[in-house]
Amino acid sequence: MQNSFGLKDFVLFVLLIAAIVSVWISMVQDDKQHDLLSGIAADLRQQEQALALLQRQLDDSRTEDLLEEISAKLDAGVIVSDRSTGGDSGQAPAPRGRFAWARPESEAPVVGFDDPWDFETSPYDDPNVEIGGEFVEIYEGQPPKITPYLYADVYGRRIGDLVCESLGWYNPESLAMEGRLAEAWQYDPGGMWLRVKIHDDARFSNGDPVTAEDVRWTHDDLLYNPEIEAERMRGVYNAIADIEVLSEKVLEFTFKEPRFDNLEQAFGFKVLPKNVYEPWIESPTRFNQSTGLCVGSGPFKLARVDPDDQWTPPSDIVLVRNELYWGPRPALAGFRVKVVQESLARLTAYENGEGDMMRASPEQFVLKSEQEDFLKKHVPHDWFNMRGGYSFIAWQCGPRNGERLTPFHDHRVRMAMTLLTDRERIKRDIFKNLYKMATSPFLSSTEQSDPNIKPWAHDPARAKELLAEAGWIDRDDDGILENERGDEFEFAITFGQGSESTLNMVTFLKQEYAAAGIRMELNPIDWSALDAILKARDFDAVTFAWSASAPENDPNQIWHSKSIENQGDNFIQWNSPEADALIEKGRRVIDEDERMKVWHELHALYHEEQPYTFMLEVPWLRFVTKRVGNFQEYRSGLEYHEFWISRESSPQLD
Amino acid sequence: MTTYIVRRALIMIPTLIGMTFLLFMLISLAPGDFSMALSVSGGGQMEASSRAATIAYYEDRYGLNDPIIVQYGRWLGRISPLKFGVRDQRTDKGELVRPPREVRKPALWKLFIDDLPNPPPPDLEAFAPGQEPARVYRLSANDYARTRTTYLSAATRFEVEAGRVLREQSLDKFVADDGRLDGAKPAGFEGFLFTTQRLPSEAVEALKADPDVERTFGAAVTAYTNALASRNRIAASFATKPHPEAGMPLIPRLVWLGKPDFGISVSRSRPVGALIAEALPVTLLLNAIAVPIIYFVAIPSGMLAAVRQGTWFDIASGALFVALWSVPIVWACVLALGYLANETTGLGLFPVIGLHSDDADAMRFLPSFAGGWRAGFLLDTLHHCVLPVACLTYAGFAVLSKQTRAAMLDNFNADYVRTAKAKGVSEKDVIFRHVFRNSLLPLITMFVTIFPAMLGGSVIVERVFSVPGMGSLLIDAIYLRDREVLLANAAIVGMVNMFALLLADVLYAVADPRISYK
Repeated sequence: MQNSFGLKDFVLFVLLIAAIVSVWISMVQDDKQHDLLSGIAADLRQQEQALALLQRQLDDSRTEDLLEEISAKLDAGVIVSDRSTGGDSGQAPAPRGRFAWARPESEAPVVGFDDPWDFETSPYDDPNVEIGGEFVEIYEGQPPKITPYLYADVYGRRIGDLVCESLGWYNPESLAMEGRLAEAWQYDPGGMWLRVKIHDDARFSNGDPVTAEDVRWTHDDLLYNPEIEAERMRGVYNAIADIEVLSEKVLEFTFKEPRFDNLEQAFGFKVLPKNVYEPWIESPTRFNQSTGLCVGSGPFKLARVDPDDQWTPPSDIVLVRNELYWGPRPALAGFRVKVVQESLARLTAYENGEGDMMRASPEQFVLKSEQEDFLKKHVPHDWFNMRGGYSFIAWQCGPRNGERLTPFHDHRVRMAMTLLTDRERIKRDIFKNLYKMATSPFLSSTEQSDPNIKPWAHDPARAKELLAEAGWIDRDDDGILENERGDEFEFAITFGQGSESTLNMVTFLKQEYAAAGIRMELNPIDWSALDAILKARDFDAVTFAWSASAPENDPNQIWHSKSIENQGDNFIQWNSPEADALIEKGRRVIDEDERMKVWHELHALYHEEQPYTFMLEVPWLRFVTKRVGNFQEYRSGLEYHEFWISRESSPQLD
Repeated sequence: MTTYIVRRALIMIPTLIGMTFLLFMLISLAPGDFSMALSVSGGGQMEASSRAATIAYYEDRYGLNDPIIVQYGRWLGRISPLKFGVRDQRTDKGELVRPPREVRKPALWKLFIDDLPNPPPPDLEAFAPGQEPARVYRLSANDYARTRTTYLSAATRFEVEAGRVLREQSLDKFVADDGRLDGAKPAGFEGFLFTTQRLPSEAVEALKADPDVERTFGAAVTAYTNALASRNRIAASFATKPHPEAGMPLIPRLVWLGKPDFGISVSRSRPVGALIAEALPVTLLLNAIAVPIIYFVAIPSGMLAAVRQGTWFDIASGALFVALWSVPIVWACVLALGYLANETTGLGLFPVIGLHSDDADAMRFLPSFAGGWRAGFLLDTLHHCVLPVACLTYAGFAVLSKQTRAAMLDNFNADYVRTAKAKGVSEKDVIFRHVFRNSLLPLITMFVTIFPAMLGGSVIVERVFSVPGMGSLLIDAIYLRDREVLLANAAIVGMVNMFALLLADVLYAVADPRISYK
């Protein structure tokens, strides 16, 4: 074999070397330009910092000026008129000034002016506050998109909450509805209309003012545009019949029917800038497939929103402070979301300092809360809030799969099951006292729940009596209860695979029930099969958890007998005319105190009927690094825009 | 040879169709459906009646209300580069515009009226006077979406009412679980068979007598007429070609060439093609590092083991590789996380998540020393790749090195080696020129067959190290029953697999003169 290095080989070799060298040189050149750019960016950041401080000082001084002005006016004897004090003699004075937009003929009070949108707990009250810095949260699930109204999961909604604003939101402490974009409003006591005045200063992150037309357009032409794939959100926001724009900043909602959550519906949906979104939805298919077209008036914004170059999963979601924000200015300069789906990797990443906050599983929470090394750098937080939920065992009250009645159609049997379930021990031994006993679907942290109702205590003796009353007695002395026909008391409990604590719980219950003469089989299933099983009503008992998102939940979806038909969510087929009447009544009562009375009656009914055995209320479990300041456990969940973050990478040791 | 290749290539088409057909049927008939992706997290509240309407909306949007075989045909038509019928159009923003879909007639209409009303012919000029064709199309598309949705919910309401009446007549078998008429929502072949003749006459009488059924049917027919008028209008607007046509004509009006379209992922409502385009490079990057490492470690050590057969090296390397091969990957990943990545319990040498640091976008590409050491994008990425690549490679050494060793040993005993040795060829030349080159054949073909596996990605490694590759995409799609993603993936991997097998066969013939395909 003759191997000679010829001219051709030489030329090829030289060309190859030349190609490699030129690629290298271009990389070096690229890096030079990059250094130049990052130098400029650093300068900009410094200036931004300076600006931030300046703006804050300016804001403070402006408030002071305003206060001085008002007190001066008060001294001068100017009376600020209030509509509600006006019309006693039929000859109502013509509304002037701030109230000019209100419905003149209505007795409904104008609310909101006294309580402008501000921090609940200001980060600037903290003497150690540091301005700037990026807060990093590690999510356990990947949001496929963060475009408002197209997202369908809780993660997308959390981003939407930071970037976009709605007319109002729950107060973090009192959970009362407060104005945000709405400066003031007038709500029909009959619940049929709502007139809203939008804040004069409110503006989107691009500087455009928020107008009444933006609100109307978002609802009518975006959310209810049939070409936009927002069907899920249309299912949620379905109470508004019409929105009328009265002036640039004033609009009026008309509702389909007087329903208790009308105000929440009108105040709940995110307002988007018409000027920005209108060209985008001109190409509906492209918009429907978009992932990161999220623009609003909130305290944070996406650094770059460009339909041709959007944020796409799985890259981190990076938000920066909205420098033009009209409301209270957050101390954080940025917010970043990372996604780690594997739980061990998530904890490792968090401990390595790749994130400032993560959601903990109960097992992780208990384990880490005992490790001193961990507690030096991190704080475990657990608290109950309106976004928690409750776990339960649901008893099949109707015929299973349309065929056979289970023993649980008798409410005495259901009550006996509750009395046999030692929830106190489950709470203590399996859930390490992190959870709280539940008594109804109404979370105890909300007004909907009647504080006087206490959970049933573990009482096997009383349970035995109730079972005997219902005809379940051990007739042949084999340790298993039988009814009059001689059928043994046995059933299967359906539960989702994969959770260790659920498995521990049902195993424990199996023994408990066996001691009372009831045979329970375990039926673990894949989560994806659960939906079909519930729809077919093909179970005797099932255990999982419902989660909540608002301080007041609508019992209609799960508990009304109408939801038995057509695969509705009343999968236990609990048909109680009493409950139906209370639900229908409660939904129509607009006055909150009156309505709470109805819900409390319903609460008592759940307590007696035990359609579910309400197990435990689920708290939020979070690990947070000590770098994070002003972390408040609110009844509404968390208010990210109030955080501040210490720039030192080493944790403060206190 | 050429005939052989052409024949093999032609056989690929029916193979691919058969494969995707099987998968399509498996997915469609498996329990659980897209409603998983539908369920609103965070307490979305929905009335039972509007639930049926929502389901109808999604079925319509994703074409799930046709018989499965029709759905499969439509899918095949989309991924085929050869397309039939009217050409699609493409807007200046790159949005694909398809010919408008037909309006389905209301269920059971023949029971109530002889003929459905016919809307007047469309008048585009009156609908949008003086507008550009593209604008006219946009307006009529929005109008059609509106009328179609209205019609869908009206038809659903009618079907729920009719379902109620049939249930009262104890004719539950005609009513689907969601309260609508069965057969209006054909889940399988029975959709073809549903006819009014199967309804007993008492049921027909009861349907006709029920005032609610009559009222909702009337509303459905009105909505149907409106939707049909709107459809005719958009069809007329489409025919004026408001946008340039997509693809390339082969036979005018009949056959044209277009881009294969993998459809829209239901769970993420994004084009499947884009999802794969994002995930594939990540998986390829990891494998492009991992596979050469496997080869560069396994082949030399296999050769050395063959040359020094029976020595401590042969035994030790064999034992080590087999031991590595038998370590479960889940366990290996967890150990790597705990001991190498975790800063508190382990060494904290490597990052835990993803392929880049947070500030990777702001990094220089190359490392730099000016003003302190900074790693740069290139080294940062490699640093992130260490653990995933290690977990991908360690199990691969055993098979390759054992294969090399066996092939080498086979050849050592061959006649030609003895001859070469007898001729006085040096030991080095015998090993590299003769034995190694002949042992290489099975290794080349092995590489060709593992290539498709490289596209698949590793579910476990990707999940543990949060690498967003093909494995993660696939496992999510399986959990959420995302049919389009699974089908597209099967089609792509199937294609690559078949080409790789063909390539292996061809390479055999090229490398070994004894093999020929005559």
